[in-house]
Amino acid sequence: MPAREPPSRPLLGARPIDFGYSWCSWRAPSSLRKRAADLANKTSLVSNRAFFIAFLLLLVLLLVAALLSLGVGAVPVKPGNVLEVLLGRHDPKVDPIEAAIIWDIRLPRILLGILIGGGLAVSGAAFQGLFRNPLADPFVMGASGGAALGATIAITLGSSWGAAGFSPVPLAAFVGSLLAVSVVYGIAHAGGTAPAVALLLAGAALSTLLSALVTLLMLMSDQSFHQIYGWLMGGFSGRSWPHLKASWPYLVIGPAALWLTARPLDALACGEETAQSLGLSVVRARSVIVLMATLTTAATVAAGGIIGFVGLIAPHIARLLFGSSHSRLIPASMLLGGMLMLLADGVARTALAPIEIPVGIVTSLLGGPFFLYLLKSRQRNLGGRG
Amino acid sequence: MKRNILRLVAILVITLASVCGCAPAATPVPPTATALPPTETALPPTETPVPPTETPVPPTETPTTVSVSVTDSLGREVILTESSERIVSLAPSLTEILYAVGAGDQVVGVTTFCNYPEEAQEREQVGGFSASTISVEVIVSLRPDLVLAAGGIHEPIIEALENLEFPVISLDPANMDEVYSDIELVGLLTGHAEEAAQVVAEMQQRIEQVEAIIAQVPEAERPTVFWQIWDEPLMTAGPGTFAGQIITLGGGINLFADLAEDWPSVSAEEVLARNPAVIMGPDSHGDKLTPEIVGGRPGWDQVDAVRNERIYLIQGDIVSRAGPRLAEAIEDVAAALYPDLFD
Repeated sequence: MPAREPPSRPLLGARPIDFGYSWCSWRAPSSLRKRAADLANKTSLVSNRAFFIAFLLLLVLLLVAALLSLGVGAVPVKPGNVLEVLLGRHDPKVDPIEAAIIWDIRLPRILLGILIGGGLAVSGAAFQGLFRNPLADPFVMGASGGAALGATIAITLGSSWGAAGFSPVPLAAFVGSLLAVSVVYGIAHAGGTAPAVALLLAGAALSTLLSALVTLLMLMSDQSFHQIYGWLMGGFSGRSWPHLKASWPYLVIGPAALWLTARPLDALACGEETAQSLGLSVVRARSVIVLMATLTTAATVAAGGIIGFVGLIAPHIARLLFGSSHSRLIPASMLLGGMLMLLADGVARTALAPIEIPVGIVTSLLGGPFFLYLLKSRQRNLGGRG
Repeated sequence: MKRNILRLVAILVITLASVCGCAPAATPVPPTATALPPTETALPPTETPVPPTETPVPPTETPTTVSVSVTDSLGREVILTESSERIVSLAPSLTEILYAVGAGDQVVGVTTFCNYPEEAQEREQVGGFSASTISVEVIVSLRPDLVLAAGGIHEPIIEALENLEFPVISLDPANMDEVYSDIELVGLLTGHAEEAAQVVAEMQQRIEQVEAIIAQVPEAERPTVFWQIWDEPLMTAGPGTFAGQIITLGGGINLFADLAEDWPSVSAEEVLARNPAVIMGPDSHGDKLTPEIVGGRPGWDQVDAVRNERIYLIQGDIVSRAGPRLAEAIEDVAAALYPDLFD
């Protein structure tokens, strides 16, 4: 990009927002308060229209992609038959097997993929803003480690209890991730303030501990090794309506609640002191954000296993396209995360059909190069020195 | 039987080292010596150190140990004796073989997963399944004169034991014939060649019996079987695995016999489209593999196996262990597939 461009101009949206990471406080501490105040006053919504149009386009694109991917899978189904199934799957002239494939396997899986991708992206965006750390992702506070341990224990025990619509492994993963984050928060909160650094450090430490336990359990178990490994890779194989039914409330409420915390997030992203000087109750805002992002992450993990990368890169892509204001960043992340997951799962279930690839591998293979490309071409937006 | 000896043909040299003195040049083995540490001799005066009948043994005056050169599943050439007395087994399948051929008393070390026969659990435990859980120290402390390993996963252990000059051999059979020849080899190395031959003969007889019965059923009428290892992700067994081979030997048709992978995750829609007549899985799958639960999965009520309630659990241990109980697994599968033909 030519040098004349200001350091952090989003691709869309007219107003450049120099914001999002810890750089902002280093670079211009004096102008920071004013800028944060601007953001908190939502003066950045001047370009709302451009954002709205772009957002709408993205939404339409996502819907079209979802419809198209209904027609793609290991078993070839004619587009006409897909339509027939959607219009009336109990119609006697519809092949019941095709109806089951479209209605019971592909449709819930596509919806689940979009919701999970969106949920991961939104909690990633929230954690990146909260911790002012571009490397933060939904699992930064130990959610994945807790989920992995919970699922591993459930698989090893092979029990069949369940609750809240979840069967044992997803339920254990859900509870595990909530517990892990609670422990991290409890430790960091010891002084009554739960500073971001303490949260990050406690999260990293606990994650390491938990993954060691998972490895230990995997080594100690014999027959369950393949199952545990398969689950840890994440994906939508074997998932259907029950998973969607059990997880959608969290995957809708969580991101919606995080959207409502967009302004506190904007303020927090410019530093805790700044946020405090703006009148924000930092501890309370942070606890709400952590809670909502964690609920969302835990639900994604319960329904789809641990799927990496989407929660890290979708918010970055959204930020490059739409700027750093969280009122835009969060819905944009949701759409982009959903889109990314939809594409990735499409590849995962067709590339080597009838064998399925864990979707986490595909998200990394597809998302990685794209992200690197964006990084290279729009580097200044990520806070490079221009 | 001859084909089963194919692997035994890997036994390149059978010599009475004391007489012949023509041990392979590459391995200067002193007479009667095994790679034992010097503290113990390889010649405990036991009841049957006499070389088995099938090996050509020139007459000798002194009681001696027969050295055998074996090429194992990792392509290693190992000189072993035919009368190992202190044996460590690193896999449940190998433990089962040792006990089946009557060498249970010679077993000094097993893994935590060696749960069959029950006596095996009383032996010293040297570790778990994966090499990183196995203690070389404990193995060494047992002063084994033979360690049985199970293929590539044990390579680090094999290397360590080799450096300490303990005799290790890796057995990793891929099909029934190799199971037979491995059983015979274990029999040979433990001085139970005859019992081993009996074990193999009995297995073959049981399997032949099953084959004779299912031979009545034409190929085209045999049920397709979806072998479900796990549900999320949906995993099955490829044709190369023992589970895959057992399905075929038990008279079924593996739904995913066309895949090369051993434990692939497969597309649920492909399972529905291929419409298995029977769904089976190892009992490690627990109570998740019942007609109610499988039929409760959206869309799966279309599958013949669910409609006709033909969902069965098979003992996971006997399916996954390449040992003498494979015959039992094949019988179980056949009995589940053809309840009318088997009682």
